[in-house]
Amino acid sequence: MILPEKSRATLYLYAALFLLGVLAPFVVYPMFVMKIYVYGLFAVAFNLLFGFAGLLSFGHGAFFGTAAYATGHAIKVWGLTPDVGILFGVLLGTGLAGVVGAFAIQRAGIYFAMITFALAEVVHFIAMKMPLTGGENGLTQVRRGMFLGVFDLSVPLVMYFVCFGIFILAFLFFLRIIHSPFGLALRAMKDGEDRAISLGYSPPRLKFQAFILSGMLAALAGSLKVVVFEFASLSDVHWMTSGHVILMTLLGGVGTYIGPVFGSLVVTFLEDYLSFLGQWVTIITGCIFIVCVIGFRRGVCGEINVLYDKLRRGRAARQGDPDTTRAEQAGE
Amino acid sequence: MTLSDPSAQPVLECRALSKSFKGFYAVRDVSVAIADKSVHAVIGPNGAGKTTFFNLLTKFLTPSSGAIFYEGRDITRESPWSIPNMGIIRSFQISAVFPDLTVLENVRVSYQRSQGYDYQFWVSNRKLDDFDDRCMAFLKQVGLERDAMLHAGSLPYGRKRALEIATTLALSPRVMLLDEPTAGMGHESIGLVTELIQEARRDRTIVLVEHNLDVVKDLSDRITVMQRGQVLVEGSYDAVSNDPRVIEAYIGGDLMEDVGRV
Repeated sequence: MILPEKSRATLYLYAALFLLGVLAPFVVYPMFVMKIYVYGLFAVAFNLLFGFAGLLSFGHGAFFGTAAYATGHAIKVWGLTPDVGILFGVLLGTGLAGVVGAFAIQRAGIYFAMITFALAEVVHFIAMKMPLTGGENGLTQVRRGMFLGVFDLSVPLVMYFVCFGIFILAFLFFLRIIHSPFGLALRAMKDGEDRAISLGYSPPRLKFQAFILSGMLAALAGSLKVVVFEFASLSDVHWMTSGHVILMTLLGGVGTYIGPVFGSLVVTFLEDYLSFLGQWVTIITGCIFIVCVIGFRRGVCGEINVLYDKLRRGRAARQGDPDTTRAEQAGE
Repeated sequence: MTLSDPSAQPVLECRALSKSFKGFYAVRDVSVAIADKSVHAVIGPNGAGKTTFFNLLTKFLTPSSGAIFYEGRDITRESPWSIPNMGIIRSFQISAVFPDLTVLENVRVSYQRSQGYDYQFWVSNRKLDDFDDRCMAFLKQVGLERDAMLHAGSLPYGRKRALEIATTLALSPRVMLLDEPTAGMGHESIGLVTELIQEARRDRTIVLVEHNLDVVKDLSDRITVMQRGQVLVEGSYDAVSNDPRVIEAYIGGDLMEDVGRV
């Protein structure tokens, strides 16, 4: 379906990023890179819903945070292994997404956003009041333990590669969703809901399914977070977390594939390396956000995509490739 | 032109269909039977309730009263996305393609649906790449095979309409409901669309809401004329166009201008 030349370029890009991911923990602090993966995966989940179904959720922190608490609780209190703990967190987060989604998809646009926001606030309130979340203190000292009985996660490098592996698998899962009959139907619905109905697609079903899948990936990110950082706190279910993921996605490029991960990298970098600036980081992030929204609305990766297409068309036109030239003439 | 056997069961039928918006009846007590494998046109001046009637038939609106039957089965309470699966496909007045999808993807999203692939998120598209050959055949049918890789939004208007018909054909519907298929078109494009409809009418039923009498004259087996939400006359083109009630109803109206042009 994709033009072969472009898919080849994408393959090279993924190979290069994979190599970068393998080498990264030997160059930079592994915790920093894992944080990029955790929030990158979270942003990928959000992007699945916003970029491909056109649904702006303002409550994705609820799934992220719930899964973090659930996994943390399962490991710390019940003494389960991290793999089972992650599974439990993902199940609970997905279930919550099912409930929230069932309500939210009844409405569109700003009302959809408000319903997700309101329900996420309810989750935040419950988390604050429930004793097993540790309230303001959070759920701390969650021991990582043995993953699948073989990988000792207390060794930083082992933790890194398990985290890297889960991230890659989750990202591949995202790509599969996008490049499936469902993914095509979803994009079609986003493009023209009435037309999609007239072909026999049910928007409520497409939206609900997208919501659940997105919530599931967000929950996986949350579960991964508690294993990596060994704690879960109220900030994980706070609306700021939901806002953060929107920022990352917009910055990296809504509707792109790898863009949200790039957005996570930028935001994480600012937070970790400019932390000596204290509160000013928030202001800097805010300014970058404004510049992004005004200056390059497609996000960093979105703009690169467009630039790449232009270059390729330009080259094809010079070489006189009739098909691409035709595409260019009709395109812009 | 073959007039279908009136004793045969109609493929699509509505009985005493009404739709009111806060007390105002846009469609009132309309009963129309559409014969199998016929082309049935619904015409009328602006505000006659054609579009409302069309949206009732396609389930995009729920009737206030009355019933709709498809092959003898009551479909009055069906959802708008369930009737395409029974073989009833509609088009839109304003050309409805998916602008951000490529031309090929537009047909493919439709064709995959007819093959039972719709909500599966675990199936790889690559496994279904042989769909592309079928989709290209549909595009060829409407003369769009060279534009397959373009974004549908970049096509000129007439080609968008052709693409819309190709996506509809990809579902191999039994009944096609066309909402003013030639609206806003130049003379040349109208000819193209008329040809496409002639092509599509083989083995299927077509209901079209039209304003342009030229198109209706050449295509339809039967015509229903609507006025103020109600059926005024029904019959063949010759019968309808000579009916004094029709002529009287449209004196000074825009339909007469159209008749004059013929």
